Amino acid sequence: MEYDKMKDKFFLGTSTREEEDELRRYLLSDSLSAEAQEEKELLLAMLQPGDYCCDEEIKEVAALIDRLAEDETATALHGSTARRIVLRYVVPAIAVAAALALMLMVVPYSGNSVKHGKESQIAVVAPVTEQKQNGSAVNREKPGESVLPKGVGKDSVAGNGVDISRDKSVDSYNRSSLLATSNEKKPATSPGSPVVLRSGALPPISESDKNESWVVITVSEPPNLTDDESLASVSQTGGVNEVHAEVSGERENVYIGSNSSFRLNGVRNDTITDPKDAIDHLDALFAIFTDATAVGVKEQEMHLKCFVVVDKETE
Amino acid sequence: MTMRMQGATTDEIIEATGLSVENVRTILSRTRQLVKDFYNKINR
Repeated sequence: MEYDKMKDKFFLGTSTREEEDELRRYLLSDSLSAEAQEEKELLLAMLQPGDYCCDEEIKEVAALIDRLAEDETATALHGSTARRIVLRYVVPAIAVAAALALMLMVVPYSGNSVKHGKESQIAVVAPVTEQKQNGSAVNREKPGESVLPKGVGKDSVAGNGVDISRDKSVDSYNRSSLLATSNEKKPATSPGSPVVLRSGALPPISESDKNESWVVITVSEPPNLTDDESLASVSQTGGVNEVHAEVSGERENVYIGSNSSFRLNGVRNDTITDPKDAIDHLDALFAIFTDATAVGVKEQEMHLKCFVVVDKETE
Repeated sequence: MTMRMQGATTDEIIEATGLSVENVRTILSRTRQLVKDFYNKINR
């Protein structure tokens, strides 16, 4: 048989045992073609005689395979551990850091936008209150005598149109109680609430002007509010649809009241000599309005705008 | 393969493994071709 045919049958796996023996004998002879001489080593390695034992070689190969398998397993475990660590610790840490960074970016800007807006409105209020110092304040208190917020009580109801700021019977409802009501309600509003931003926004007043700067806050029509309980009940029952401020009469008083089903009364013709007290008092009133109408900060801001606009008209 | 290298005939491989003649020949062919390719590769 020709060498090429024997070789092809061998590599196709179709050669018989006799044909393979013939091929091996040929390769062990001296008369080999150049091609056969080149493939002799390979073919003789695969054409081992039947009594050839390769157990030792097989053991070596098996050991090599086991070592490679162990190395691959170790590498796979290492990669798996690293991936697990990344997923469990690194990714959450990056997520938290990104969230914090986002908050730090958003919160200051959101606060500033509200704050600047309210301060600009308040800046209008302050000069107006100072301009009123030349007005004819009929019920004006003596300089430096802050009576805020006297006048909340039954006597103020009976004294419709009467200066009740000197009525000692209404002093039981003191300023601290009203302001306390305001402070209790502040948490219900957002951080951008005018209640907070108005405080301290009034520009500083010189010592000479301090006694002459004043704001009169008057609520139209006498109230049925006698104490904290009544105020609380008002806050619960609500009913205020619209609150507006207006300037009336020669006294240039600022009225804060309602034109519909409810009017907050009780603080009538109180003269506030300290602008800071006026702002605090407004805080308390707006806090009450907010709760009574249950409309939140947006409505509250509208009240403040109303107050500012009216003041502008008086300039 | 080990059996063949140790002198086992195709019939003995078939009897030991339960494979058909065609499958035994296919395995032998593939294995020998792989050895040949590997040999040529490392000797170039």
